[in-house]
Amino acid sequence: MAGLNKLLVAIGMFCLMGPGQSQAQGVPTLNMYGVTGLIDMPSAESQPDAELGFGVSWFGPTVKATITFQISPRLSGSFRYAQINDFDVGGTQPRYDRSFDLRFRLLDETERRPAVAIGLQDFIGTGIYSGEYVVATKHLGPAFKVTGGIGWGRLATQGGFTNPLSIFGSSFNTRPPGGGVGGSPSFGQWFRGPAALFGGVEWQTPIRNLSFKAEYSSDAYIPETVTRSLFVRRSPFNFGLDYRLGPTTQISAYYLYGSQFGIGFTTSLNPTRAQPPRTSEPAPIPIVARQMMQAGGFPDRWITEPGMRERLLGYLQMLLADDGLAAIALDLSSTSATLHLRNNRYDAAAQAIGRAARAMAKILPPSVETFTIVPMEGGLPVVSVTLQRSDLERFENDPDGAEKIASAAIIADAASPVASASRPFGSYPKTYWSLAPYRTLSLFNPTAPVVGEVGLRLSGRFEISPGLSLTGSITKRLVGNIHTNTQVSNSVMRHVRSDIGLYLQQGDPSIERLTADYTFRLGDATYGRLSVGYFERMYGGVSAEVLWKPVSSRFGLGAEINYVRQRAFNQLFGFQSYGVTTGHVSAYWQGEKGYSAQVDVGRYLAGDLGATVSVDRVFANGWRVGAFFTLTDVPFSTFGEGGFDKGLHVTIPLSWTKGKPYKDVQDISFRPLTRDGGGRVDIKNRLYPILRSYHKENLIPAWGRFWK
Amino acid sequence: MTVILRLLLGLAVATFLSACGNDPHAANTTPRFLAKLAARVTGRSGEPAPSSAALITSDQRVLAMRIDRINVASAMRLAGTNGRHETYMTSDRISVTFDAGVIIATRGMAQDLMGLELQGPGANHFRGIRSQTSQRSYRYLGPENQALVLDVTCILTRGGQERVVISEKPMRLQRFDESCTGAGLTFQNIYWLDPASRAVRKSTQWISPAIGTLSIEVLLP
Repeated sequence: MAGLNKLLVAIGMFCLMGPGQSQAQGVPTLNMYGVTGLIDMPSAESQPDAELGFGVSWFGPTVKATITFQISPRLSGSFRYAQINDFDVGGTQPRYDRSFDLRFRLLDETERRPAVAIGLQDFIGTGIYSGEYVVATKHLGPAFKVTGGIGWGRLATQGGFTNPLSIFGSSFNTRPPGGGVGGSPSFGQWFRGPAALFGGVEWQTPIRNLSFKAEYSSDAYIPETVTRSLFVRRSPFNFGLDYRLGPTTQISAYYLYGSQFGIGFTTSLNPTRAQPPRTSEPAPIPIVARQMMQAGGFPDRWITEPGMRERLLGYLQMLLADDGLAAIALDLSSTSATLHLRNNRYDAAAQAIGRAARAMAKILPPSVETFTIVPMEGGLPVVSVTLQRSDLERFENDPDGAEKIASAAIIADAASPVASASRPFGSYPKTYWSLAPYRTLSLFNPTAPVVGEVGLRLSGRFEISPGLSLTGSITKRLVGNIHTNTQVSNSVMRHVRSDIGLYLQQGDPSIERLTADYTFRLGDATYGRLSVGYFERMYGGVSAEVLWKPVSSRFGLGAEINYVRQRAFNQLFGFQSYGVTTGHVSAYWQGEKGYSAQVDVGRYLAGDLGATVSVDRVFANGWRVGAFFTLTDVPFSTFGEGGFDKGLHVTIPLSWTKGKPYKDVQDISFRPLTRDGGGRVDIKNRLYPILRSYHKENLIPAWGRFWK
Repeated sequence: MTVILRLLLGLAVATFLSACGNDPHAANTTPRFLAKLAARVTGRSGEPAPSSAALITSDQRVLAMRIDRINVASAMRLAGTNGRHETYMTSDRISVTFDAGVIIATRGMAQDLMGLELQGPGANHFRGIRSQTSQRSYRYLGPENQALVLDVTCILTRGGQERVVISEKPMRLQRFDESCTGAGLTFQNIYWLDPASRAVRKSTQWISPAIGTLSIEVLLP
């Protein structure tokens, strides 16, 4: 039964990540720890830049599931969830362990020299797997690789000897004990205590896609085989066979420590590799050059012609609607036009702007030369792009048309549209609704391997005028096991987040969100938001936010203040007695090389004071992979297991998965534990995420889609 | 365990369920699984091959376009003219842009030709040629929306006159063969020109690695 559980983890995760890509070259194999390596030991190779690998392995009492991201060509980070059966409470309870690794490739392999990497394994966990290593790998011919390294900590429990680093001081001779609640980097342990050597070989057999590995492991499995008797370890030698199912997917079979059989499955995705092309999107309207427009189509003084504006707006709406766009307002003069645009389809802002420009070139009279397009999101004018119609005509079929139109475009902060009797807004008030299935799947839970549910979500949005809206959603569970978790929070803090079990048990059906929101432009590059209502499952109240973010700036600054009350467990209209004022000052930055950072400093839900740091790698196709942590004045011991809040998140745009434009994304979070320190109220329409995709730092890298 | 199995079954079912409603963000995000399957079984939901003369009733020029690799054909009508460039579109919105009979861009395909840099005489591409070498640069959009460039060298050779049947009408056309090599790829384009007007009446032209070649016939009004 336990075996089936593990298989389901693998299948569930694989479905979540989508199928492997067929175009990629084969990548270096992941080991049982889900990092590039041999069997139980690491190697010095790296995955291709931006590779997002997933591995699950099982042997003896242990199942491990790991996510590894190649953060930069040399640096990789991993998050691992392990289950060791019969580890705790006198061999009756499993241990669920979460660990993080970092690895840096110091040297690249050349003809004469191996690649060399340095790594930290389980460097902020509770320390079961803590170890450090320096490892070298060299190809000997195309089919043969040899790896050798030196390990410390867990990687020095077999064949250990005096730490060679002790020449720098005797303090390197002893490794201080780890343990405790975990969560803090164990600097004091790194590279201390005895050291040991490990190594092995990998051979690509003549059988296609089958490779053979053998290694000498410097891990003696002391906690599993000496402190406890979870299996019998007879030998330090391990053997394995890897079979590649695809360029980035493989299954493995192992014989370990002279007594155990094991299996593994690994696969990976890469945002910088295209999915196999399989779907397409409708072609855009071609640019119709004005000299080709039918003569006599427009009267000379068309601008004064009665009904002409309405007719033009009507035609424009028709063309825009075909492309998932809509005109909110159209201001016309005899030589220029300003279109306030609603974009319902394109995640790449440049594509929405390009398609709107094509529609304008098709409809508007020849005397209109200057087009200004102002996309609006949630009622905010997010950017203004001014194009010359003659440039559109000139560059449409230019091989370098995207760069040329980008450098000719004027990209600036936008003003709000002005409604008047003669120029009513095209699409207010507007009601949207949907009834859709929802899925929740959580794989790295402390209590069960797979928890999740499937249900129905009824959502609605009533947009009264640009920026002013009512939004709500209700969910009803159909099937799932999330709510069967009866574990009670053991938090010694105010239970601001850890009563999740009670919310899940009692909230069905639940009012997920019911808010009135007003977003507006305060002035140059300055935006505001006011919200009131039930923001999320656990909190409701009032919230105000202000953000300064010029279109061409890589920096933004914001501030938010909220008064929230904790909602009743049934997630209907009631509140509990707990109320708190929270607020943050936030700084945002996105660099040129695709890295972004955010720092929020302020007061959290439990009244704790502190800061959250988030770092993401951002891709021009909308992928984001990042990590965050929050440190507050809550002591690690009060916080409980994990010490402080931290986690990883991955954003996969649906347009990348499906190969045609969608604004929606799939957000996957890996948070080891959610406890009560460092909690923030979850406001769905914070300003910065709405604005950033239209601002230069993200608009220009995806500008290639302008003509798409 | 049964809960987990039911959960996974539910997850699978939910993947293929469509939403209903008018919210464009929610309503169209689930795959139209059955429609796709049907399209795959029947060979795609595109139009039947435009072989009949019925298509030639409009006063606008009509092209027949076939994606050779999947053998799907559609009629195309002129959708826009911009200088020398003419863009033709199918009713399900696939477009092809020509410069004097040479395909310089496509849209609405799974891997579009975003642009083509042609070195050489362009409109006079075929004039007075026995054999000519030229450089071509094909532009695509990469997975991170960056420009991908494929440079090839092409040799265009004049062939003989051939009897070609277009919309049930036989005609004699001048054949040109173009052989291109570069970036580990080799592909052939073939053009059949009207000897009098020098207009390309029929052609087979390579688009991209994923699409392969398109075959175009000009069904004149």
